Amino acid sequence: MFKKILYILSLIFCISGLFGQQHLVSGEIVDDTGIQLPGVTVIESGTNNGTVSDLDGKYVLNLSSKDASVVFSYLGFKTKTVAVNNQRYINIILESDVEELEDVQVVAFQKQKRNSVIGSISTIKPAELQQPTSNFTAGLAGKLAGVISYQRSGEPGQDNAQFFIRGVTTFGYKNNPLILIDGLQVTTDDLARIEPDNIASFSIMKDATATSLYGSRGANGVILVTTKEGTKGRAKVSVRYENKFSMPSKVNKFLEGVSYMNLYNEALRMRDETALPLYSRYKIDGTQQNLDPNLFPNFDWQKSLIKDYTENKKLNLNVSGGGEVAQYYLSVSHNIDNGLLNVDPLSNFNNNIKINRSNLRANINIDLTSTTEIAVKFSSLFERYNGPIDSGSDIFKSVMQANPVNFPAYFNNIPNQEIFNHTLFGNKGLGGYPNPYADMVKGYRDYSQSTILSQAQLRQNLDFITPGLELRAMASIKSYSRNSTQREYTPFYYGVAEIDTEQGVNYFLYQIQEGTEYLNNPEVSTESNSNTYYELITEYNRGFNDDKHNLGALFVYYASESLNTLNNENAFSTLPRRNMGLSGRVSYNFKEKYFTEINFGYNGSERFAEKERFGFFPSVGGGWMLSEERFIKSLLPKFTMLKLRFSYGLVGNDGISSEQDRFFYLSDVSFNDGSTGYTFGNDFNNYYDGYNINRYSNPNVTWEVAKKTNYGLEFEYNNALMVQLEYFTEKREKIYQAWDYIPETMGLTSTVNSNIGEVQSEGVDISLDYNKAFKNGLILTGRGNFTYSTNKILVNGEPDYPFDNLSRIGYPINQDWGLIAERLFIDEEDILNSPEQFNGLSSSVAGYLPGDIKYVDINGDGIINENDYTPIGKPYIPEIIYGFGFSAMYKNFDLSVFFQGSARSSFTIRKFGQDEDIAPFIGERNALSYIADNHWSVNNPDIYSFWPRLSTESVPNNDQKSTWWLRDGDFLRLKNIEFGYTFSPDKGIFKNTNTRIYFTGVNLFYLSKFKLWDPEMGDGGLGYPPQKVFNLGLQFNL
Amino acid sequence: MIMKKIPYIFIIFSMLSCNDYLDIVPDKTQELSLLFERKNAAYTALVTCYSYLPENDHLYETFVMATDELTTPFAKEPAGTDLMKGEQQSDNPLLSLWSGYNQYDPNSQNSLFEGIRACNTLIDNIDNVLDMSLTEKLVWKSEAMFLKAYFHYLLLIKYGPVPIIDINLPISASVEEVKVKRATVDEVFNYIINTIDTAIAGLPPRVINDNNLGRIDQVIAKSIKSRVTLFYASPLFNGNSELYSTFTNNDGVHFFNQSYEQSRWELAADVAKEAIDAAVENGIEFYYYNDEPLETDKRTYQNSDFLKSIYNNRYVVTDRWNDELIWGHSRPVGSNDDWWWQIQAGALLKDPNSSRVEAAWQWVSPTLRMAELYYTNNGLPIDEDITFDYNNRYDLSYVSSSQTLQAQYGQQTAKLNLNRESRFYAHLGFDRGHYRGWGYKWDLKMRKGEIHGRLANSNDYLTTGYALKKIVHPDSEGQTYNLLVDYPWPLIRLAELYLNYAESLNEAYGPTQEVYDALNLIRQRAGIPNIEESWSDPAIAKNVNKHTTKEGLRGIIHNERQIELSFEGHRYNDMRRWMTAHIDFNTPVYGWSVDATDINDYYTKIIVGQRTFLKERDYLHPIKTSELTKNSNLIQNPNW
Repeated sequence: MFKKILYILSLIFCISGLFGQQHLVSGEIVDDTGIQLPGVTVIESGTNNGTVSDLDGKYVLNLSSKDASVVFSYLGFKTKTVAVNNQRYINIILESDVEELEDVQVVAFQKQKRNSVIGSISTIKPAELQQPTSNFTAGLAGKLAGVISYQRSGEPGQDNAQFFIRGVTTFGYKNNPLILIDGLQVTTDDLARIEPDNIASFSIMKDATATSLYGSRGANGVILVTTKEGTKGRAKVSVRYENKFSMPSKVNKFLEGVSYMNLYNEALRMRDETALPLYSRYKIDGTQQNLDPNLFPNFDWQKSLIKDYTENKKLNLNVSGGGEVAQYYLSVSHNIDNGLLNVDPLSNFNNNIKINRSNLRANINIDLTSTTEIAVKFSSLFERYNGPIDSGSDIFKSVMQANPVNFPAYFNNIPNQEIFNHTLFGNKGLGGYPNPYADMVKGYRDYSQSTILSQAQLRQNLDFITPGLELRAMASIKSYSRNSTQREYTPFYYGVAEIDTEQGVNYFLYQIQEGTEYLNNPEVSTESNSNTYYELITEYNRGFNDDKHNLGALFVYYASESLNTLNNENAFSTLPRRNMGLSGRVSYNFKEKYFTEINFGYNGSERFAEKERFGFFPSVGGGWMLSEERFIKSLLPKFTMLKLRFSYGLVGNDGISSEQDRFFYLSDVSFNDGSTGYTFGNDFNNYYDGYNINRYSNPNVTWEVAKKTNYGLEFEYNNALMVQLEYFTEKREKIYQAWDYIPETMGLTSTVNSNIGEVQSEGVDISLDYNKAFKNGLILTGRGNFTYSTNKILVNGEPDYPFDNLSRIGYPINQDWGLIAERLFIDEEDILNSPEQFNGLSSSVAGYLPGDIKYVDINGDGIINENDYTPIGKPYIPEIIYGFGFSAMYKNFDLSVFFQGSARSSFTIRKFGQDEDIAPFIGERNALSYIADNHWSVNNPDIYSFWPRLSTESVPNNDQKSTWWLRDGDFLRLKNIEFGYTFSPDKGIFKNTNTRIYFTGVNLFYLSKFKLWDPEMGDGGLGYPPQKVFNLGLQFNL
Repeated sequence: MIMKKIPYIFIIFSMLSCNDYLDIVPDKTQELSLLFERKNAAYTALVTCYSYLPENDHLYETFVMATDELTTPFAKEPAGTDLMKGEQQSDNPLLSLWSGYNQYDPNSQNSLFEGIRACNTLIDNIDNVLDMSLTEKLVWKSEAMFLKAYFHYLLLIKYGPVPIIDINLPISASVEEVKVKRATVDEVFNYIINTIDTAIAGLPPRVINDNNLGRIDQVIAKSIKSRVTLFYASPLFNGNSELYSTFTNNDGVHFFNQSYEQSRWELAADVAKEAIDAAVENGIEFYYYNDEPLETDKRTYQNSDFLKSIYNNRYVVTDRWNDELIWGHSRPVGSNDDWWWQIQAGALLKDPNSSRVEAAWQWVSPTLRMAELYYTNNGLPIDEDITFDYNNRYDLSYVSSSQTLQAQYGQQTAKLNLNRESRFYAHLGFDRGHYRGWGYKWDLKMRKGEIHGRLANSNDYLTTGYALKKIVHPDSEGQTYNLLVDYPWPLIRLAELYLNYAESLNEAYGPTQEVYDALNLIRQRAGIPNIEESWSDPAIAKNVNKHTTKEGLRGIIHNERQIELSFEGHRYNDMRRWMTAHIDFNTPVYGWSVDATDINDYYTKIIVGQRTFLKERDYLHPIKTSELTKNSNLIQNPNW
């Protein structure tokens, strides 16, 4: 692979070696905010000799003389002429020409002038999204106003960040946005794997006006990405190479053997005074003295499973250019991402996660005639994965499953070891204790997947029918397939048995489980899906009466189909998904001062009964460019732009339930269900499956509808500060939801659902941009944005609760319910004087003791039980995401710093009863060292200790969701810091090129009240942590 | 050129008719009615009704573990043990037949109300099937009818008053309609009895086809009816003004009738007699082992009635489909390969001859109380037998040559383990006793470090020093799980009918010869003297002629029932219906000192666990809190 790239590279170098002119001048062109300007026309004054600046604003021009003048011109900017005077390197700042500003904005199905946009849309320059992580979604948090995002895991391939536009505003099934790349619906994974270098524009659409054209699909907002296209001119080459060192942002600490055993024995006695210690003095002493590690293991599972850091690489290469007829943009990139798992030295296959990903993209535009344009876009993504059988995250979690002293990962240095040619994995007793190391190394999983997308577009100017009319058509096919295999052997488990002999204790190994010496046959699975999409668009834009009246109209017809072959699914999942619809927009503005717009989507989805199959989603909006008014100009002269916007409308959501749960007008019955099967007969051989009703039919099920209102204010102050302020409200109705009032006595085997849920949301998004170019060449850019989104449930089908604290009405969707923990019990008397908790009796085995959690009797009924659950903390998904940062450029140096924060969220640190629970000792599992330092004990009866009275079993009284386990999820992190140096293009090997090296640090530190693990992981603190990355990059343009 | 074609493109797009494009589900995909078109499919509906039968042979779901019969090490927590420890709670109730439960097994017990709904669905729809005869439809309908009644019965004896679900409410039922009310205990009993009667009329007399064993017939229905009427007459449900005088519905009606009705015992006696007659008529008889004994036992077996009795009682539960079994659960746990959930896996001893580490768990052990419950070889309780050294029963004694069938000759064991009835030796294993299994007779050595004792630091051990044989098939082996031998768990067997009969006759009419005769059939198989013989002999009985008084005989009947039906899941319900559970289920668990190696230390009685059972609360199970929230018409059981 690499060889090929090098070959291509060298070829390109050869082609572009055009030297020999008299005077070469080069430089960078930026606007007054410091942002590079591509496509600026650079012409030697008085000649036809010229060029355009490349995508990064760089230009190189051969002049006929060293005394010539150069003219820089660009639409929307004041033209600038500079005398060369023997200079080789001329950097230019072009000042924007406000009067001429004809900035365009990508909106649904078309582009509009930025000024005339009424909908709520946030846009970001693709360069801002450039981040040395292989997952594009990881960089979204805090970058765009209106995005709530967080990343819970840093595992390569599984590290998609969660993101929601204006927060989660429904408790229905699908709550994430519609993602479109070049107009095509794609998955979150597709977005995660996009190359930032290939992105031409990135916008999110938030309100009804912006999204109602997407009708049934747009209720959760839309992310719109377009990829770069070629521009006329010579071939421009751009190469980026990055080498990254990646490591956990924070690592959990576990107890070592001796403390573990002492604490375990203590925990045992805490619940049963008569209990014999599990770990004898002899074993503890032996461990302390580091005697034979087979007999006295003191094993650090974390160290054996997980490395300190890993190294990743990335290469991106793109070429663009073109002539009069055709323009092209070609890009190749390759990523290598590695996991943090240790590789077993004892077997030849690699268990560590390794992902090799190649991206190929070709965008070609052909001007067939002066009025007809064809665009062909082709992109493919190949990915090869190799990794352990369980996910990397499971391996991180598995450290909790084994304690340091039961057995080592494998036995070593035992007599007669040479007779075994397999690893002697450790276990004890009858086996069955988790050995995370064996689980990690016993096999591997690999898959190769490919996504191929091809797209053809036709654009026909119909000015000959009537001026301003245009027709566009697009057809596209996307296919995805994935083949996975998994191979493993059965580990041989051994245990140590001790015998008391005259000479003292002796030991021997005995086999607990017979394994296999060979890998078994691979388990193969295949998954594939294909999508087809067609659209036909008629667009009309025309100004009348000297552009006093501007009229626009757009009609879209589309049909899409998606076919899945998934394993192990039900009768419905293999049927295609189809959508079709007609959407439209009519816009009118008067003198670009007063704007109005009507949009609609009329969409059909295959999921519903015939009468509910189509939905109609209209919206209206209006805008007022105040800064065009004379009185404002005189009143507020410093406001170079000031605009008010308003919109209201409906948007639908047909993703109200999972793939398998469609066609709500039909019931879903499994006619062959093993769980309701029975056997008759002498030998119990006469087996029959039973049936099970998975869903009861309901022909009235229909779309979920969002009623969105948006108020916007945007202004530009003094040509330097851009501010956008938006306030929105949304009422989500007809959320598909189970009726929770149905008791068990109905005997139903599934819930009964219908469109009953309602949620009211509101929030604010703010973005600030500040740009300042100083005379001495320093360019400063500041950016900040803030998103706040909150909601409350209005209707959710809950039963008529006997106690108000149980009702979720009026509380956010992701609000946690739990008990209020007051403190720990002081003594028996305290227990007797408090309300009874969970029918537990302080005297019974199941009871609770001093040092266990005391709860508040919220409903005042004298007992503590489920009915005392009450809203605790803040929602699980943060209500506030913000980000801010600055960048500075001075001469050849640049520096940018970006902070990102999250606020108003909370999470519980326990996952009760699960493998991920941090409760120590249960089933002899591991223990976090934090617990050893801070727990209630007889000697230290602190009623506010971190951990209550220890136990080696789960304590039902303490294993309740409560404020005791609740933590604040707020944090502020240094998300990104980048320092770069650009080589002057007039020296040595950098001649005629634009070369920049840079160092990036990601997630270098964070501030949070929570001390155990990275707070962004929420309750999954034992999983694969988000990564801290150190990156060294090289960028090269030609 | 191209422009001219554009209109055509438009036409092509609009030709796709919208509704056809979106109507993609093929016909006959998913409708419940499709089940009731052909017999074959309808059979799945019948099977579904049966699938809701609770699994009493499931280690983690059985009520056998929920009494003072068995115990487990502290670290093991089958739901039954948790229940006995007092860990029941209303938010997430253990072993809840009302709301379903699932301790480990994903296929575990769903709410019995789902089972009732499945039965009603079959009853409502079976007439639509085209290729079935009317008689056959009636049989299926009657089976569903019986199961529906049985599910109500199971709920009734755990919860007391329950709602009667005779017809299914439609899915579209309103919020108010679904809030069903609890019927009174008497209403539920009458509903169950009537429904079983209706079912009996349509059922075949006896299912004999090998392929259909496990399906309901008249003998089964009549036998279960006998048990239902016995509960109907028993103190917990008959005039319980002691516990439930204030437990009423919203209209002030008592859920439990407040005055005792003697006539219910008469009914119970009649129904038991009817069931016995039906059973005997259909060839059901007491089980006697009729196979070859082990090679090592062969010589003794011919001449020893005692050894024969041991064999008879060792196999009575586990010998598949034997003549005594009236209704067996024909889906043993593990038929879906989840062998390890079987209760016998937990009780099975590890194979001393195998060098491998076995799959047997060896941690379910009978309590010392059970060891003390069995009779002496004179057929009397150990504290009522003059010849038995009751006061020194924990002292050691050498096994004499006359006791070689009881324990290992020349070894020492507690006196408690010697001179007992054959059922003691058939059901329980103890240190220096014998264990027959896997084709051998082995000598048990159960002190710490010994071959059947607790291994160093192992959590798999018998906490009391007793091993359970009764429910472990003698051929079950422990190397791997699939060497466990399945047998149909007895849901009802003939011995119980005679015990039901004896108990209800005595309660209704006092001691009569008929009562003695019924009990003597059981004692005969147990190899002990007849009741009159044992209790009339002043040389052995402390309490001579105890059997001639109603109260005395009641005690004897209860005792006999506890021994004969031990470890089969009856004790939890019997002790509750007699209202003695709060006494026996509220004491510490005792056992030998299994962590001792020295013989004298080993035979020291110690506390190995705790039990809690509150009289005011635990006779009835709690209704899940969330269920009460959904249905405000439900009233929680007292003190939950």
